[in-house]
Amino acid sequence: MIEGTDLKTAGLPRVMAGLMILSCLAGCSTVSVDNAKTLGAAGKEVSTQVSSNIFASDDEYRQGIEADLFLHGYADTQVPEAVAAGYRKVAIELGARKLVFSKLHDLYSAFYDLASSGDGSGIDRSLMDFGNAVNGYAASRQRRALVPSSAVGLAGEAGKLIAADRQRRSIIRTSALIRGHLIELLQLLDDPLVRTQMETFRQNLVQNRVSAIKLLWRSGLLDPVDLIDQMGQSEGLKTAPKSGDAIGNRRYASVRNGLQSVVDYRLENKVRLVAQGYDASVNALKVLIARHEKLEKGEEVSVAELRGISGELQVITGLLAKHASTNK
Amino acid sequence: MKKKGVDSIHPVVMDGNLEKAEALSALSKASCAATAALPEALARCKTPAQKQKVMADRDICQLAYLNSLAKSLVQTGPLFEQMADDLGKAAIDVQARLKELKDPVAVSNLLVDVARLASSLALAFA
Repeated sequence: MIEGTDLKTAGLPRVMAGLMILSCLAGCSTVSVDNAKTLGAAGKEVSTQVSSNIFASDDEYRQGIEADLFLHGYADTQVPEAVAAGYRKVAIELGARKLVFSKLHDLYSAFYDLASSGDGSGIDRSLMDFGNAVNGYAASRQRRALVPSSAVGLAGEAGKLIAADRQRRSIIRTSALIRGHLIELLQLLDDPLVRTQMETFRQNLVQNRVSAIKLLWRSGLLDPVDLIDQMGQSEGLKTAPKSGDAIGNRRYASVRNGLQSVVDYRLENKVRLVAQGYDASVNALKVLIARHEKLEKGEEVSVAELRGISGELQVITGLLAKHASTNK
Repeated sequence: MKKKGVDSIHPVVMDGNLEKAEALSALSKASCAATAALPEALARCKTPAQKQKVMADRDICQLAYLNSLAKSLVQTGPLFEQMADDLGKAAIDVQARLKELKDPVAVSNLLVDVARLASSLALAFA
């Protein structure tokens, strides 16, 4: 019935009007797929970093326990079984909580996949194939083409727009779902008891290491050359040859005391970093919640701020990890 | 007059309404303070017995903290389990949506929507 109809001459304005309505329908949700992808990628990264900033890593735990063993050995005694069992019990219980962040990472992965699932370009191909197949069938039955070639293309475009719209609607629904869970998680992490549980266990592990290092330092068994290098580095100064050996000499007692103050400051700062890491993690979740709200409203999601919170978490994790690695 | 003790040591229970978080925090501070004092205290000990006594006193502080922490974790544990469970279900839900977008069956459902729109567009060819 519509064989041979030329869109250029017949009904073109109406086709254009139809396409405009279609575009309008598909575009009613203004969420940006690129913004969703950005947020998905940031969410994956932040969930991993938050986990590293809240929980003691395996290395941190091992080094805390080893430091405790050293302190007991130094005092010519052994770690009481009740203390060792207490550490194990708490580590297992807290370790199980990491599952929350691994699930959050999975959720963001799914969200990222959803946002990266394409714009329906595969669908327009399948719809065109469908139209061509119908025509092929008609030809085999020696009938006129049922779908004009121009309409096949149009159906493809329509399919593409609808698919893109479905994707956007799914993104909005998923974003709202994630936001709801983030709010619950934030409330949980902001609970004073939960915060105290998380922070204090790490602080106790860090304190064990700090005391063991101080004891080794006081015993004169640690070489301060790297520390002296770091202090003079910015001015282009380097530790003089054999200074490490000379520092043990009574003549340099004042220098040694000075270095000890720096060591004490640095070590005590590590204990403070634990609380700072927790605060940064809670803040990161707040920023994510705000960005989800923006995404759902169709507003621009700032990549810079997401990178900023991610960077802050990385710095704190790095500082604590540096502490761990220097203590190996 | 009796000499006042160290300023930094406060009684754990002041009004009988101490929150669990505050109590746990106080126990942790005591445990950390005892561990932090070890290098100085052990360095001053003259005999192995003195060192062992210092360690035993510190271990009492740490054990009190660890036991309290373990007990308090039992209370908050189910909240985390529930959270992990909810997030797991949400991820499965999102994966299903993604599958729906890519699924051939869903694509064929899409044809229904396209057909509906096509019928309105067909007016253009009338």
